[in-house]
Amino acid sequence: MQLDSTSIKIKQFNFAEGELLLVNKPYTWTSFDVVGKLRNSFKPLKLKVGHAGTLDPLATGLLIICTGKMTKQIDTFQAEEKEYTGTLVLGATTPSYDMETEVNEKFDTSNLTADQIRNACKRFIGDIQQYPPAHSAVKIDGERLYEKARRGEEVERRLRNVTISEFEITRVELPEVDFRIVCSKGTYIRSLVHDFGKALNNGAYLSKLTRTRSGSYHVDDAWEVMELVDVIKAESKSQRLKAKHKFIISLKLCAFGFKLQNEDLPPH
Amino acid sequence: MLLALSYKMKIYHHIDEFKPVKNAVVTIGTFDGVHLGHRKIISRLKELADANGGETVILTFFPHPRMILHPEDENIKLINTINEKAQLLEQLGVDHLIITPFSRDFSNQSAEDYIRDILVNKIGTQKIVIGYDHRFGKDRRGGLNDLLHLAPIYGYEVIEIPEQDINDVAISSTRIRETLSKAEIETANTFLGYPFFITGKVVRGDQLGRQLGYPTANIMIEERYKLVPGDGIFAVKVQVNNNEYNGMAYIGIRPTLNGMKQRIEVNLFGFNEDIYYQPIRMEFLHFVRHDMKFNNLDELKIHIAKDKEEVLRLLDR
Repeated sequence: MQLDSTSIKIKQFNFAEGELLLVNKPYTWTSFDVVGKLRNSFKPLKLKVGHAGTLDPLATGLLIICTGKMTKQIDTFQAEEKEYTGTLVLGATTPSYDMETEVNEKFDTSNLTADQIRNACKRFIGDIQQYPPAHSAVKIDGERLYEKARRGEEVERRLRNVTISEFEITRVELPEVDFRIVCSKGTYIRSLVHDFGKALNNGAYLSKLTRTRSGSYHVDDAWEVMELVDVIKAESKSQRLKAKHKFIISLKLCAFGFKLQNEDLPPH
Repeated sequence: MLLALSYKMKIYHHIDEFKPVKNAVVTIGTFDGVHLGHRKIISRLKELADANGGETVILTFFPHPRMILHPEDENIKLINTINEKAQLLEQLGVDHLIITPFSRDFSNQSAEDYIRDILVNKIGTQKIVIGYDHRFGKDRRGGLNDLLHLAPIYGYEVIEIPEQDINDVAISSTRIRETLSKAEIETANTFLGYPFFITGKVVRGDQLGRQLGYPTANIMIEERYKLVPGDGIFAVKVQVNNNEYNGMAYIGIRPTLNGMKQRIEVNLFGFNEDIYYQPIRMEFLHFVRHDMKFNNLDELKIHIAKDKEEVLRLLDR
């Protein structure tokens, strides 16, 4: 059973009191899908569940989930520095800057050298200004940018100040380029990749992205979603069982003249 | 000016004349007055260029669109004519001055087109020194953030002049123009960092000064947009015929003579030569008094003598 292989990760959970959970977001899931799935697994308990730092559906990797009172600290986790690894494709651009939309422009990459590519990324290290992609969840006038973009509307985007503390190229096999980046909160990797393509007098879009770290939390320590769902269910089942046992004991004690107290009642 | 310059600043009257230079360190602006605030920017520009064997480039705009669309508009007044500005920038050791008109095409460019086509491709900008409040491109929508955003993309560096620095100097061309219009010469000169001056030609007057015993040279300024100080009597230094003279200048409509047109006249001390049609440069050093109407020429003559004493006293300090 799943539970046995992962039981080493299990400590004493208290989801209602507040837990911080590290989850590896699956490919194509939205960050909200993950939250929804977990929230469901707590049923019939109704728990507050939230996430810090949205990942695009096509990205994978570390998603920080907070339950119960821990949700109050989401902003703190959100503000942490992030590390990503990913792959970008040179020689083409897409409107969404990733693979969600089709290629709209192509460029010749035959003259690009690995040195040029490595040198260009140095220019992005430091405090930089970037536009959120037109296909992004940023809200303008109460509407998300991607909603306007899908209608084909021109969207006014505002530059935001972000800090790139590390940016390195780890593999060049044109048109693919692997990279690793450490950046401040709110950095759009898609935008960075798009600008990076322009810096090479070329085009680029993001084809793969994994968040490996957020603050001091690492994806290596993260749960797979289904794994965690099993644990949650098992945990709450055992808690229900414990409560049931406690209730039975209380009933027995009752028979000896002890008064039954509210907390002795079993949950549902 | 009798300044011996060991080099000559290159002037371009169209952006296309400019050939990209090595390590161009660039700044953009109208630089009217080339005042102390501007000088701070330019000295930063030179430092950066010297640090890595680069050349300094100033991109300035002339004429102003309003000057083309409304040539009759007398309200556009500038501290320097374009030639005076070039002279001042050359004295500061600027290598290249690009003078570009504010055409409609030019002002319709997006911020990115402007940065890519002009700053990067045409000028070859490596470093750009710019004030936090500099605006450019269509509807002046472009600004410092656009320059910062595109810096890694086009491979140049932005050196921002912080708000604090600009405010510390507390100098603006507008403020200097205001003080000059009120004939507050000393204040204007303090802001400018050099004595305000005009350049023009000596033209024939009606020889009235000669009759009063104070022959004056009438100065005509060709550029209608050149700011002339408010009316009054001034202590000046004049360069003409490769010589420098002290003098007293008059700006006004000559109310005692019921004049209508503004005149700029100067009486040069210890000088009596024919200098008609000679180029002349006049530095304003002190304000002496406002213009006054006298009852007759004798009263005027008596007052001019007093003015001269005052001018000599001021120049002698």
